[in-house]
Formats: sequence, C-alpha cells, structure tokens
Amino acid sequence: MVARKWMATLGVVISTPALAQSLAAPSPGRPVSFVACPEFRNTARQCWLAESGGKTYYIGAFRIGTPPQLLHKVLVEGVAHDDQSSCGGINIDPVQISPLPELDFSCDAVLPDNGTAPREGSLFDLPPEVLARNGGDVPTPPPLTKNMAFAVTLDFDRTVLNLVNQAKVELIARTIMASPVARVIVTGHAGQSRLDDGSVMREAPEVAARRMAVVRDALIAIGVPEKIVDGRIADSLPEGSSVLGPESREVTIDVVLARP
Amino acid sequence: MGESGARVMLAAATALFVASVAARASHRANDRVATSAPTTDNIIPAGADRILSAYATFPNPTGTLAVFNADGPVATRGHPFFEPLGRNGRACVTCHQPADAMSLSVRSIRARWAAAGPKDSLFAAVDGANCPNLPVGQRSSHSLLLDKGLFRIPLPWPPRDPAGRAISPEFDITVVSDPTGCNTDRVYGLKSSNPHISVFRRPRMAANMKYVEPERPLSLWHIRTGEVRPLDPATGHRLGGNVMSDGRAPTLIAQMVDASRTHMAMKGGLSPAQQTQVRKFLFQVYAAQVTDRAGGRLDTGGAYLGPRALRDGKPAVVGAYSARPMFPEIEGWVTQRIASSIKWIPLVKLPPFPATRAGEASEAPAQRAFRDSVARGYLSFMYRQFLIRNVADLNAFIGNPVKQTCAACHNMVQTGMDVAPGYLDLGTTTYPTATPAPDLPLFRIDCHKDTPPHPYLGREIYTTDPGRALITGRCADVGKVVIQQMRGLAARAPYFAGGSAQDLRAVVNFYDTRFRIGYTQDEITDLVNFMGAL
Ligand code: HEC
Ligand code: HEC
Repeated sequence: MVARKWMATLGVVISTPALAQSLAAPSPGRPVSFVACPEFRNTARQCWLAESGGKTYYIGAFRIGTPPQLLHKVLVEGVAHDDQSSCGGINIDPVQISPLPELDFSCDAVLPDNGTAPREGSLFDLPPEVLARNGGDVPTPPPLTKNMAFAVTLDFDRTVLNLVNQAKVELIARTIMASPVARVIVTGHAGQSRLDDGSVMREAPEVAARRMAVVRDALIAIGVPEKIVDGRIADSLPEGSSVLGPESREVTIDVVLARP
Repeated sequence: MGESGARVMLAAATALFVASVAARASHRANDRVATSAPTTDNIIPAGADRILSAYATFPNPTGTLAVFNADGPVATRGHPFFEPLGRNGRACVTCHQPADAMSLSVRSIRARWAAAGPKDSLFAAVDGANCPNLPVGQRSSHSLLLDKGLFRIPLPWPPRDPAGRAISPEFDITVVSDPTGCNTDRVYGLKSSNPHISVFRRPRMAANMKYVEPERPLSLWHIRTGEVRPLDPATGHRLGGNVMSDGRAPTLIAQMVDASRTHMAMKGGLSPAQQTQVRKFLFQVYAAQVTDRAGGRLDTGGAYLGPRALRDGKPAVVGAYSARPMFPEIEGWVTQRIASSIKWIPLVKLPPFPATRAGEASEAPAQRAFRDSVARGYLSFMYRQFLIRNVADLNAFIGNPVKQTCAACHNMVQTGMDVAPGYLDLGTTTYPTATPAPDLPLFRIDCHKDTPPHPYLGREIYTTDPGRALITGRCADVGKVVIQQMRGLAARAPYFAGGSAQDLRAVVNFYDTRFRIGYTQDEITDLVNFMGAL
C-alpha cells in the first residue's frame, strides 16, 4: 500500500520512538479502544494512566505532541500487552491519544508518587528530530515519478497538526515542490471509532473542513503554489461503515503529476 | 572546642549574618521604592537635541540600568525615533525611554504628570487617557496610565486578516463592565459605526530586538499551534511571532508603521527611509541592569550581566529543554555550596558547579549575600519543579498538568522569551486566575457551538483582555499573551501586559497562587533579586 510504504520512508526521517516501535515487528497483544479520564501520577518522571473495564492502563510519560489533559476525557486507541506494565498500568503500545475537546471537570485526578515509576530520565528532552532541526529544514526529497497519495492521521475531533504530523506535512510539501506537479487535492475526512464496548463514536462533521484547511494552508505556507491546490471535504462516512479507528480521520493528499 | 567545631560555628554565624544583611537589603530596597522622589531628570522629551552616548547608565530603585548603543553615540535631533513626527507631539521615545529600559515605568509616568501634567504629550487623549472622550487634564481621565502604566489599544472588531478583510470570529463578545466608558462609547465603542474594542496594555521594551525578531527563527512551525510561521516578505525569513503582546504585528516594520499612525497620529506613517533608520536603531540598542545597590556590579565575580553580553549573544536559542544555561551571564556566581543548599526538588539532577567563584574570598558580606541570593533565584527559575496546569497552549502540548519550571515557558537563552513563539494563556487576563482589576473593562466571550472551545475555560469566558483572540478571532486563543523579554525589569515596573503586578514580588506571588508552588519568603526574595539583576 502506498501509504504504508511512504510511512516506512518517513520513519527514517522522523523516527519518534512510538512510530519506530509501531513499524517494528508487532509483539502479540490485544487491541483496545476506550474513552476515560486520564490520571496523572505525580512521580519523578510523571506518568499517565487510564482505567477501562476494571483494568488500569499506562498511557505514557512526559510526551510532546498530543499528551493527555486533565479536564478532558481521552480516547485511547492501541494494542495492550497484559504481560508488560509501567507505573502500575498495563502497557499500550503503540498508543494513540486523543484528548476530547470538550471540558470535563470530573477528570481531575492527580495521584501521589507511589514509587511505581522510574526516577531516572530527563524531562528536558525534546524529541531528537525537533532538536536536530533546530533552525534547519528537512533535506530536499527526491522528485516523484508517478502520482502519489499521502495521508495524515489526526487526533479524534481535533484539527491541530501535532509534531509528528508537522514533520509529515513538511516532507509532503517539499516532495511536491521538488516534483512536476499539476494538481494537489487535499481532502478532509471526519471519521469514527469503535470502542471496546461495541459503541461507535463519530467525529463532529465540521472537523473535516477544518482539517482540510489546516493541511492546505500549511502546504501553501511552506511553498506549494496556491493555484495548484484544491481543497475538498469528504462526504461523511455512512452509518455502519466499516472504516473505524484512526485511519478514518485522515486528510488525504493526492498528488497528480503534470504530463511530460 | 576543636578547630573543625569552631569553623562550623563560624560558618553558622556568617550564614546568619549574611542572611540578616540580605533581609535588611531587601527591606531597604522596598523602602527605597516608597521614599526616593521620582524625577524627570533622565526623561528624553520628543524632539530633544541630545547625544545618547554609546554607553549610558540610569538609576532605578534597586540599582542602575545601562543602555548600550553598539553602533556608537546616537544624535536625537532629526532621528525618527526621537522626533515628534505626527500631529500630537509624540515620538517613539515618548513611550520608550532609555532610563526605563526602553519601556516606561509608572514611576516616571507619575513624575512627568507631576512636572507637566497633560502638557506632556505622553498623556495625549488618543491612548494616554482612559478614553479620548474624557475631560483632558483631570487625573481621573488618565488613571490607568498613572496607576498601572497602561495605554489604550483600540482594536477593530471583527478582526481583520493581513489583507484587511474581516475575519468571521468564533465567538461573540459582550462588554460586562466598562469603567473607562470607552467600550460602550458611541464613537469609540463596540457598538459604534466603526466598532473597536479597547484593551489596556504596557509598553514593551524597544531594545534587544535581535531576540524579539531573530533573523533565523527556530523552525518552520509554530510547534504548539501546528501552523507554519509566516514569511517576512522583506527578508524571506520565517517570522518568530514574538512582537507585541498579541502578535498582531508580524514584523517590527509593520509594528512601527502602526505605532506611528496610532500612538503618534502620523498621517501615512513612517516613510521607508525612516523605517530603515528606526529599525537600524532598534537592532543596535541593548538594555539591561548593570549594578545593584546592595550587590554592586553585576558583571564581576564571574558574572557578566549587562547589555554588552546581549549584543554578543545568539538569538532564538532554547535553554530550558536542552538544559543549556538559561542566563549564562549568571552561571559564574553559582557554586557547589549554593547548589547544595537548596531545599526544593529540582526537575533534573543539577549539574556540577565549581567550589568557589572569582574573588569570593574578598566579597563584602552584603555583596556575597546578594550574589548567593541571585544564584539561588536563578537555580530556582531554571530547576525548581512545580505542576503547571491549564495554560493554553503549553499544557495541550506537553501534558496537563506537566511537571516543569519557570524556564519551561521562559525558555529563550538570555531573554527568557518563548521561542515557540510566546503566546500563552497564563491566566493574567482571564478569570478566575486574573488578579481582580475593577478599573479595567470586563468582557464576556461566548464561543460558538461548532468551534473548538478554549481548552481550559470552555465556551463562556470572562476576561479583561482577550489578547491573541482579538487578532485571530479564535475561541481557543482567548487570554493568550506573548511573553515579554525579562531584561531591564528593575527599571520598568509594573509587570505583565495588563500591569497587574506592581512589583517583582507580586509577579512571584501570582505564580505561587496560580500553580500552588509553596515558595518560602526567602525563595521569593531570591527570585526577586535574580530577576532584578537582569
Ligand atoms: C503612546 C506610547 C507609544 C508610542 C508613541 C510608541 N509605542 Fe511602541 N509600544 C507601546 C505599547 C503600549 C506597546 C505594546 C503594545 C501591545 O503589546 O499590544 C508597544 C510595543 C512596541 C514594540 C514591541 C516590542 C516587543 O517586544 O513586542 C516595539 C518594538 C515598539 N513599541 C517600538 C516603537 C517605535 C519604533 C515607535 C515609534 C514609531 C513606538 N514604539 C511608539 C507604546 C508606544
Ligand atoms: C506556563 C508558562 C509560564 C511559566 C511556567 C512562567 N511564566 Fe512568566 N510569563 C508567562 C507569560 C505568558 C507571561 C506574559 C503574561 C502577561 O504579560 O500577561 C509571563 C510574564 C512574566 C513576567 C513579566 C515580564 C514583564 O515584562 O512584564 C515575569 C517577570 C515572569 N513571567 C517571571 C516568571 C517566573 C519567576 C516564573 C516562575 C515562577 C514564571 N514566570 C513562570 C508564562 C509563564
């Protein structure tokens, strides 16, 4: 699949630990998808937990990009490994975190340090790709030789490009700028996710247009000529559609090359 | 008593003595603020014929500030920063005074009122009064300027994009309380034929500009908002977004043209030649504190504070997250003795520091106490951890809450600005965290249902200044203010964009309450001394 192959190329460029792990050989586990209040454990290295179906899950430590938020429920999607735990919770890896936009004052748990998290580790670190790019640009990628479809997956009900998506969009823009491109079609989707309890959560339909605009504006601001970019909004997914989970909330970027 | 016992006693006695000197020094500092008579001796009026020397020093309540013109002395006559070019007799220097670190302190504003009253063009009705419709010359008409150093900033509503087209805002704005009368006025208000919202803000420093508008910003992206930084058409560089408290002027050129038209009532604004001359001036003028009354020179004993180090520094370098020294000029005062005396929990293990600092043996007790205090304050700023919560967009980016330090936000080396760029809703202008300000207008923001809410305040927000949201029209931007540089602080109280902290102690108290830090009085004094030395 085009997107998968492209992800692999991208992995070399931006290799965040989460992405690198998701590209490595998968260890067995069980898929999970649930909405819960995140809980903040105030340990030396601070960690995030969430409870679902009577189990406590570990959903990450200090993280940059889209971290959990008190005052907001969070949609957790990923693969749980019951034999691995951190900070007193079952590991979910890979894990995708989507803090839900609306306020929820019931999510306010700050738990004391109970010695479950490692004390070592720097809290100052930015992801290496951010530090490495301090002021610099992504190197010019090779030009495309055939039409290509790219995709950027956003957090549930959100339209902000997180750090990983910023790197993706930048690479896509530079690829387009290095290629003989006739048209770029940016399409925003509003998606849905099936939760462990069988229910389906649907995104607000207006996020499709906002997402499209965010990616389109970014491509143009980086340097893709405005006149070749076409923004579209995908029809909302029909009720009962089998596309569920993160891949349903994409912005797709179809690049059509000029005929020689 | 053995020799080592005697030494312990001696050390303890010295520590006590030093502590009491430090305490007295800080009391004296407060007394000085209250008693020393403000004067207009150092004020440069618009249109003055002076030579601003390459290196000039000016007294302030806790020491002296130096203004350094790296390109040499500046003749004010005929210079567009100093000449009254508009119709109201004002120049840039009217509001950006060298003695006040190229900003303006309430002390000197009051001195000017006492000396000349409304005849000083500083008090021009356009923005030096609470509202232009108020009777000129009465103190009460200028109370926000005289009490808090605030100028009126009228902003069009709805906001306009850079091309001048109206933006459709994501929220409705209602004036809940209007003590100045300006927001409900028939001519100036929100319901007038030319609707404007008036907010009231402090002048920002017009110095050390290479840090405010770096030639080479950190990255292509506003990493927190996920937007691409705009291009400066003049230079082809990506812009940092740190100019003005709401980032409304993308470049300093745009800012100064705007300033000349509004503050100075200059038809057409500065000419291109004048713009170039002002810009050149701004990029070579540096301002920072250089002496402290109790502690002496700030560039000796291993420290090298002052404006020259700012000239030599590199802009847009991130300190905090990569654990580079935030203020390398102070590092020389930090010793192992000081580092091991701290009682709070550092965010990361402190690096090793030398056993002594240059000339430590010959320091006078008051000087030693001061340097120790500044060093402790600096360590606290950089390393003392607390839980930062509910700050848009910082917490959305690194977790809410997040265990971090002052330097998480004030992360640019040597200035304490925010490289990211700096607009954050710290809560200085949004309730419930804002310091109550019955003298300021109060707005209610009602965000539309189909727009993303403010992440911590939701869709109904009360604020004295919606900040960045008045420019973008976005609900999630309500209350966001661009971090100022942290230099020359001693010369330019009060603090925060809305003048809500009358002194540095009030700044620290705000954070202590906001983030439930639990500082001791000594810790607060250390932070105050540290910031006052910048
Ligand atoms: C009436 C007082 C006044 C006058 C006159 C004035 N300014 Fe300002 N200046 C301000 C205020 C108030 C702000 C902050 C505005 C805000 O944050 O919204 C400011 C902000 C600035 C900043 C932004 C600094 C930063 O770090 O963001 C610069 C630079 C500046 N002024 C330069 C100038 C220049 C150049 C002129 C003359 C063309 C000028 N000012 C005239 C009051 C004034
Ligand atoms: C969550 C981010 C954040 C943290 C943490 C933070 N600040 Fe700030 N700081 C800001 C913002 C935003 C402003 C501008 C607010 C305004 O002007 O209303 C500011 C302004 C200031 C100013 C005012 C400067 C001026 O010119 O008026 C000082 C001084 C200051 N901070 C000191 C500190 C100290 C000391 C700490 C640690 C106790 C600290 N800050 C922690 C975000 C932060």
